[in-house]
Amino acid sequence: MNSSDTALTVRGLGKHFGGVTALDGVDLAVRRAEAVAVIGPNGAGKSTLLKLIAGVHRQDSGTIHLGDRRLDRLPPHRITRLGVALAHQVPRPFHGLTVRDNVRIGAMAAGPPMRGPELADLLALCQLDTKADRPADSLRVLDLKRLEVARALATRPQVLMLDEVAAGLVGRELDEAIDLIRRVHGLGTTVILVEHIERVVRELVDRVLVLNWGRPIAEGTPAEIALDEEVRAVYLGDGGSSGGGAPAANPRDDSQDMKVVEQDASASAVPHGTDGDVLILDNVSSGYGDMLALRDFSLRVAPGQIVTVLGANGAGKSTLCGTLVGTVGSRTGRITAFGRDITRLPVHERARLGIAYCQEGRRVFGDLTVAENLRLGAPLSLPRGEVGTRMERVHTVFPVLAERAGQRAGTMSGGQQQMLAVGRALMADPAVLICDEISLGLAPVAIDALYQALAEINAQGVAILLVEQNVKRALGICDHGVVLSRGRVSYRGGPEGLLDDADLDAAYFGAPASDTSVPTTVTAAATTASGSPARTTGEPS
Amino acid sequence: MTLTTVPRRWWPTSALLLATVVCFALGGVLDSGTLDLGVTLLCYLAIAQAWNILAGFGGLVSLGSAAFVATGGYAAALLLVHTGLGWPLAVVAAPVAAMLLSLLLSAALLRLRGDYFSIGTLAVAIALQALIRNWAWAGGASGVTVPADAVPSGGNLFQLAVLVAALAMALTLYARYSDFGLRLAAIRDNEPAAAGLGVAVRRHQLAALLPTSGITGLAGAVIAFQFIVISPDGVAGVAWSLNAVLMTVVGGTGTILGPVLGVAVVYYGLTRGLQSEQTLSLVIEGVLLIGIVRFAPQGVWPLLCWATRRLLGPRPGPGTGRPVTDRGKKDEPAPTASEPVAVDAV
Repeated sequence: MNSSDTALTVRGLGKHFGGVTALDGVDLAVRRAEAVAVIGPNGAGKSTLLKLIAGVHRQDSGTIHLGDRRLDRLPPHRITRLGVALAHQVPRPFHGLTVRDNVRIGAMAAGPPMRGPELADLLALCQLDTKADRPADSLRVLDLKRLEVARALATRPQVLMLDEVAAGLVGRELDEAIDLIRRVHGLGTTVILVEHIERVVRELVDRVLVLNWGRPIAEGTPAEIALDEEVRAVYLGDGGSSGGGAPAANPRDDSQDMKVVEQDASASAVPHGTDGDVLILDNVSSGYGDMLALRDFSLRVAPGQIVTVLGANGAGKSTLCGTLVGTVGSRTGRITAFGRDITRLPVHERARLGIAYCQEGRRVFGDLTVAENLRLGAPLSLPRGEVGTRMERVHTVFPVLAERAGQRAGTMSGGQQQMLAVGRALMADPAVLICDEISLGLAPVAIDALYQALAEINAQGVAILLVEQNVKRALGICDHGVVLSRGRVSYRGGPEGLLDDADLDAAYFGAPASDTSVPTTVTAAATTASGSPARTTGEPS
Repeated sequence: MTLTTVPRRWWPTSALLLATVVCFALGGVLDSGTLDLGVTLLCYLAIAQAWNILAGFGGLVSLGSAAFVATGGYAAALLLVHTGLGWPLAVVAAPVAAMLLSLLLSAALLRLRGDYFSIGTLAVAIALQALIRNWAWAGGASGVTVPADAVPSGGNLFQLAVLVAALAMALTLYARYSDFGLRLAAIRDNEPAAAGLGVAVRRHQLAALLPTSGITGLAGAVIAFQFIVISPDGVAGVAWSLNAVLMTVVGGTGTILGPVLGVAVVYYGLTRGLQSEQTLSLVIEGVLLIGIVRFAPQGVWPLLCWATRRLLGPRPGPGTGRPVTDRGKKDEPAPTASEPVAVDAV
């Protein structure tokens, strides 16, 4: 019933979760050795589509064929054995097993067990060969993503489905991920990508399918899609595609030597400034067990300022957040908030001082309503009337939270859940808001909306510490940027010093060979921060 | 198959064979008191090891060991009482009956996940105990008496127990080193991911459930031979399930030698030492379980291995360090040669 060059055919696929329509009449035909991307806003049904094909969920209507073989009534392990593999958005390693054993599972389940050389080739292809005997537990994010892909490849798939494997990767990591997918595709594997990162889509695929609310709204080449009005409206938004959402309006700071290389470590300490600073970290080190994830870190955040902390995966950003809010104990150094030493203060007391933390991964209470989630963000002792007032304030920043006050939080789209998470943090009426990776996994339009809200929140006088991987966005809004590399500060200064890709790469992954001999503690003239308490940037473009 | 998870996988097998032969030979040497104690310990070991395979390697935390001990014990006893067949057949009938029971229950139990599976197995054990208590043909609440002259005793019973425990150990080795065991571990670590890689989840879980309930039933037959009089409270009591859990968790869940150590520690430290203080014994067992789960979640055996390596080895290399707990997995840079680890555990 299918022409022989069609690898996978999806016809009229529909799926409901409770009252929510995840997919509605989706058709897709993928030719052999083709690379297709499925894009769309959060909640568009992209992951659902992949999961239906992989047999994780069962569709309510429609059919799925691999060649002439009907897939949609088979259990997931049978579908995998027939040659359809799915690499998940959130890596799901077998924690107790080594990297090699993780990959062997995929190999042995579908077809003959993988022989030594074949396994070695696969590990090398995914750049895991040097880590083959390490427990999967010890891998960092990029390697976990590689492992997820390697495991999927080990099942010898005809069709490889990749669900946001590039999410959370930056700079060189992203290049490597793109390179890996390109190599796999080059071997003749049919690839279906779900991805938010435009560059990945542009560089890898021939054809793009755009979904919105479970329905296909456009299909075409990446170039055609980029010009499609409807797609721009629901998905790309304004700031997303240009890549130049960077702070062009930012006046060049007068201190030319922003990246002063200080060889004397003691000089990197923050100069003593006014007590008016919201947060001061002075030579703080912290970590887990035997490992230090953050070393001699100093930072000050002035009232009303937006400071962004950037860095690759594993650079120590989340550790910094944990150290600030008190979930990770600091080993050395001093943390001061509002003129008070909080280094040894427990988590809840720090929160009472006005430090709100919006954790990575949203962490909304999915079974509670939006309003209930918000109410939980307010202190217990707060009078009812005041809770209502604060909720109204949050509603003015995020009108959608008022519209959906009675809806269960878990049924909202990712972007709305992230807004709820930020809104919940605001319910504590903080003086400083710490946001950890709030744009992760969101569609460009959703990020636009969030960043606009951040600007509004900031305009009300709340200082914001923004921990981000989305470099351009974060730099577009901040007054002051810090780049962490392997737990140390590799750049500190105004956002304009990071606009150039080469500078950014150097700050992220270390400069090319010439610089490595110097034990660099690049400080920034931290004075720029304290010296100019008011924001000097323009509004985000 | 050419690629083995752990090299030198033959030496554990050889060690097991040697230990089995030595223990078997001891059956003709030891005095009757020691033999009796040995049978008890070996039965505990078989039951704990079966639980270990299911929970430690397969991720199915059962609280129903007692159901299979009872099934095996009663199957053997009733066969001897109601038919004239000899004890060897009873030894065969016990695991078969236990496996049939687990096959029957698997349709329902293997649909349950996590805690629900545990609760389901506990319910099965309690229901079975109530059933036996009200079943006149099986002796009701007063139980049945095995014809003492028709079953092995002393050295022979000890040797039978040695074989049962050795079988349990062999199964554990298989679960640890085979490809089947690897797939089982994958299901334990992440079931949907394993299915997504082509592992038939239900079939593998059944393949772990059947032999482990068989072993437990086999141990039940040996216990019936030892006790002579078996009653619903004696062989179907929840204590068998709890002991299997306690011994394995104390020794080290998911390890090969952990349960061996756990049986010795729990039996000598608690069951034996506090025989006269039943209530106190329960309290201490509870406290011990809490302490282990809190401070050494991997059990005593991995802790001992780690301590030995620290004392003997020059310095633990990567991957041989102290078993990691689940703290702070993310966002930590891996230590490298150029950046020596700053804080070191003593």
